Amino acid sequence: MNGAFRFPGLIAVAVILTTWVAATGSGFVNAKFIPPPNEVLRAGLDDWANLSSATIQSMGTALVGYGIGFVAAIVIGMAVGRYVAVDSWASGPLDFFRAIPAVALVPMALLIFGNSFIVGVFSVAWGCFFLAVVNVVSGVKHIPETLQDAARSFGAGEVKLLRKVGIPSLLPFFLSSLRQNVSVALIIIVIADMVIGLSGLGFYILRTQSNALFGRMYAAITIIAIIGYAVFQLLEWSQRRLFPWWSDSVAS
Amino acid sequence: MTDERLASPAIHLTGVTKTYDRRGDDEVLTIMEGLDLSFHSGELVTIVGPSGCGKSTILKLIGGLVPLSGGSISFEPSSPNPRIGFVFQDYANALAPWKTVQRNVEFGLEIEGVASKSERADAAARYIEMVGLNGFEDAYPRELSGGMQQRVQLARVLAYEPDVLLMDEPFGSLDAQTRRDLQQELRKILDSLHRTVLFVTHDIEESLYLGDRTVVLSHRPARILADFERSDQTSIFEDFVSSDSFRKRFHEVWDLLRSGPDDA
Repeated sequence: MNGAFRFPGLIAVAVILTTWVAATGSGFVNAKFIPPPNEVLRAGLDDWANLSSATIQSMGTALVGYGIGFVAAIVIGMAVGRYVAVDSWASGPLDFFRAIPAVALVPMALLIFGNSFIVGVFSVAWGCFFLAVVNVVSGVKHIPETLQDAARSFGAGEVKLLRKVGIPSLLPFFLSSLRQNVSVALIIIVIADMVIGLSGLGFYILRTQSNALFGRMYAAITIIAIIGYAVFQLLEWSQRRLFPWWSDSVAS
Repeated sequence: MTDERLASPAIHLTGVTKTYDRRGDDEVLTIMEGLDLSFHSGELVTIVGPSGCGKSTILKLIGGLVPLSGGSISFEPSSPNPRIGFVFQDYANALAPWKTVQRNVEFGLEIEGVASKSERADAAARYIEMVGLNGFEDAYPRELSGGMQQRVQLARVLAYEPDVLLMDEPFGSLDAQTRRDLQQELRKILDSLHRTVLFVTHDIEESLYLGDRTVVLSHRPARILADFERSDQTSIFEDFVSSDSFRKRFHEVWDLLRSGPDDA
């Protein structure tokens, strides 16, 4: 088999990079606003101290929010999916609050919490929670009734049912929603940084743009893209590795 | 060993009533009302009836998966509590998709949590062999055909070594050939186990071929239309279904089921 064609994605990336270089080199686009990749790399390295600390700040905040939102989604989602009483009380508020985009809450959170880290965590957690909770609820409802009956017929009580049937059935759903949440967490943290206007990658992008340091701006954007891609790939790989029996069709 | 254990219990249903409240309206659905029915120790009873007549509900009531609305169900002897093994029609959703064949067969013992890991593995190996799945121990259910998945479920329930075996249309979703093979194998396996077995089906031929005794139920609310002993002792399917006694029975049951809803 032809090696290169086993990775058409890599070829596509190479084509995009080549087009980028050609477009800027030929003067087809203004190299001042869209500098070539080597310029972006150099600009990023020049300002590495600021860029790396902004990255750590944003990603650290996003990670904490992502974790909190996700754990809350698992706990609440499982209760809603499992117990009709909880569902009937919680589904109204969940549907209502889910309609509020997390980024719309950043200014409010800033008023209430004042602290930029907490505001970032809150916003990311909000966004991740509402996306994941829907997944978890649908996961719980997908646990086959017959398998639960089988476990009960072997004498399983509620706790054993959760441990031996519930959790194992849900793990792949958890991983799926972790994956979907990566991009949501990135979107929210970047916008939160911009609104708060103190630090982080979002703020870095705004400031370099207004100071006409376009190379640095693209360097920050590229870092976000690489991190998002890497985390996404890692989660996808773990899913295939840990749950070879799982197919995404079950989740949809 | 299975053979040295106490005899399998008899089961008595006395005045059993089961109703469901229909969601949305006030109507109460009566599945059965005051049903009396007994199953003897070690007997293989097939229960045949039209779809929705409540024959599966009888199994769920005995298995404790749904609560009684009235009457009582007792086992004789009543202690120790009988171990009940359930085989479901919906094999695809009865197995754990994340477990290999080996682990699925161990599932009942794993839930029970008494047998050690190696005892579980030994029991699983024995019954995987018995249902002819050796070589597939490490396969996942979705990699298997429907017939093979149902074999896994059968091995799982046998590995649990139940006193009472409840089988809810286990072959209802399989193609004719696979169903035929499994019927003959099941007959052979059950002959050697001497357990009380209730086997629910809507297939008249299957009910007559498999049962030591066949109970025919009406449309709901379920009443007993007929209660036959096995007509012919041969376990060879072709011989059985070509016997005169079988054909006479088949017509009898067919007529009962056809006239059932009208006189209800």
